[in-house]
Amino acid sequence: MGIYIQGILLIFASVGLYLILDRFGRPAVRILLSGPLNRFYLQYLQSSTKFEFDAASAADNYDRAWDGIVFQKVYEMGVSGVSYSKRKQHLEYITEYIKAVSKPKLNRKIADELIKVLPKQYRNVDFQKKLACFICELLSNVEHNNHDGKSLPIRPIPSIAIDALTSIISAWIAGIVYLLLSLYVLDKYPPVLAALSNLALFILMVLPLFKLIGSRLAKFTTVSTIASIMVLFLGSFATIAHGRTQLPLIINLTQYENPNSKLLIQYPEWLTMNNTGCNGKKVSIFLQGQLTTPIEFRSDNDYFYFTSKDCLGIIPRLEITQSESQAYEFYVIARDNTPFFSDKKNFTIIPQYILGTIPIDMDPANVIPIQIENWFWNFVNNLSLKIGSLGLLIVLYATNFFINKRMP
Amino acid sequence: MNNRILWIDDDYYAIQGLFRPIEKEGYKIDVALSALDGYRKAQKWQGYDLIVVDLIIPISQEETAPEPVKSWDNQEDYGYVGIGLIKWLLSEIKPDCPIIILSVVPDPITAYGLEELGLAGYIRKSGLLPTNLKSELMGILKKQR
Repeated sequence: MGIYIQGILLIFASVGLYLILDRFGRPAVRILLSGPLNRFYLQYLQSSTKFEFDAASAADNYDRAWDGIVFQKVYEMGVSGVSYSKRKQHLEYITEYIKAVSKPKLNRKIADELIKVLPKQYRNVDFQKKLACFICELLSNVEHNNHDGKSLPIRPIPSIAIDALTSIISAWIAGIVYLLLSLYVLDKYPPVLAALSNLALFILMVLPLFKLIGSRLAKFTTVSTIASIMVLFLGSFATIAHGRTQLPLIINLTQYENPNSKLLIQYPEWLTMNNTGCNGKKVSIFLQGQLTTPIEFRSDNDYFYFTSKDCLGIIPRLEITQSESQAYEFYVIARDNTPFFSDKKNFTIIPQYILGTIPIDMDPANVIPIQIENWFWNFVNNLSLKIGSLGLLIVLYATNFFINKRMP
Repeated sequence: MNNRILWIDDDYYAIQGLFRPIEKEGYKIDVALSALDGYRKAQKWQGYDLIVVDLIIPISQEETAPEPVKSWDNQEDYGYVGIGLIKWLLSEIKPDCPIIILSVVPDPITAYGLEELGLAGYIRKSGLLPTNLKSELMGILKKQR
């Protein structure tokens, strides 16, 4: 199967997984999270109200602090397990208080808070009707006063949060699956396809987050998400970019008993194997100075063989025994039509001892792996970073639900 | 005047918003969070100038409560625990101590026939602001002097 088709199928599979999870995962998320979310949210609201109350009291602003008591009662009405008699008392208290203080802004705020915290339905239908009318009255919405009270005119925060969380969890599961699968194939994508697939990943994982936009913190976390995804995007892209670049590497052979000798190595050009015939990548080596001990190149990657320019036969290792400066070149060819993996380009130099009569020294201490010394991209490409970024973002968004009380 | 008030209400969080302005006026507030707590504090009488009672209060967090506290939970007799407590305070402790009902219960004096008790007043908890309550209580305390 062609790489393009594989890539496109992977994208479709991830988007499909997202749609399925988003569609069918909602009830499970609701069952699992609505209770804890509601409790956690109410606890947060109550403690933040208490904090405001204490601050206002400390500033001798008692009347303002007293508003907090109303909100305490509002929030307590949302707590499951509170008796109906207590809820009725609270409703009565709130009604009286509104009459006594007569602040239109406060009415609106109380209605908003009730809408956030109340469950959609109460078992006590009479109480539910009463509450529905009360909310509508607070909102001065005459039309809504005609409702039958079958459900309250509210959409509580846990419900909003569950919808958004389901989408986010689904998107991130699909995204993680995509990332894991793409680890096997991403680097063999041509850059355009890699960029497109990363763009798809970006859209898939960021779009659901916009459901939560509406607060400063939500915007902040969304920007963080975008930034992190862009890092992943650039990281994946950079993997390929390295392979495309002619990256010279100089190895000083002094420590291998070759005084004043240096090797200048040009990495192979990146390109997709066309899977037909011999189409290797040229590696250029230039030897500066003199060799007193021969050196040998061999690939420590099973996917590669060395071959000569005319592609006649496989050369398991390349020995350089020349005693004078000279340019060498050889070709790397992939085994079994396996496409070239740009991140698997470790070649090993094994210095041999004088005269070549001593067997090749396989001591790992004498093996020099040639790697791209670019710590940033190595870091960015690290899988743990990718997974860590996802985890961090999930934590950020979970936090967002509970820290920000001005959700849409 | 001892400048002391006994305040019997289980919602400490709410009432502290109410009594803080009064404390600023130099009054010491003893808070009782249950009927039993109120009962004990009233027995150790500290020369209170005023008693503020909420009608809807729990008997006690403790399993055992002495008589007559247990009997206040009898809704048929009292309607609310606080009514039983007020009756006991007026009959057994200080008949002349002014008592204020501060409750969300609408007009309990008429509803529960408490006129003959001679209460100093009834204030609906939900229909006031702390500064208003302070003015009302200060007015009652002034009359006492």
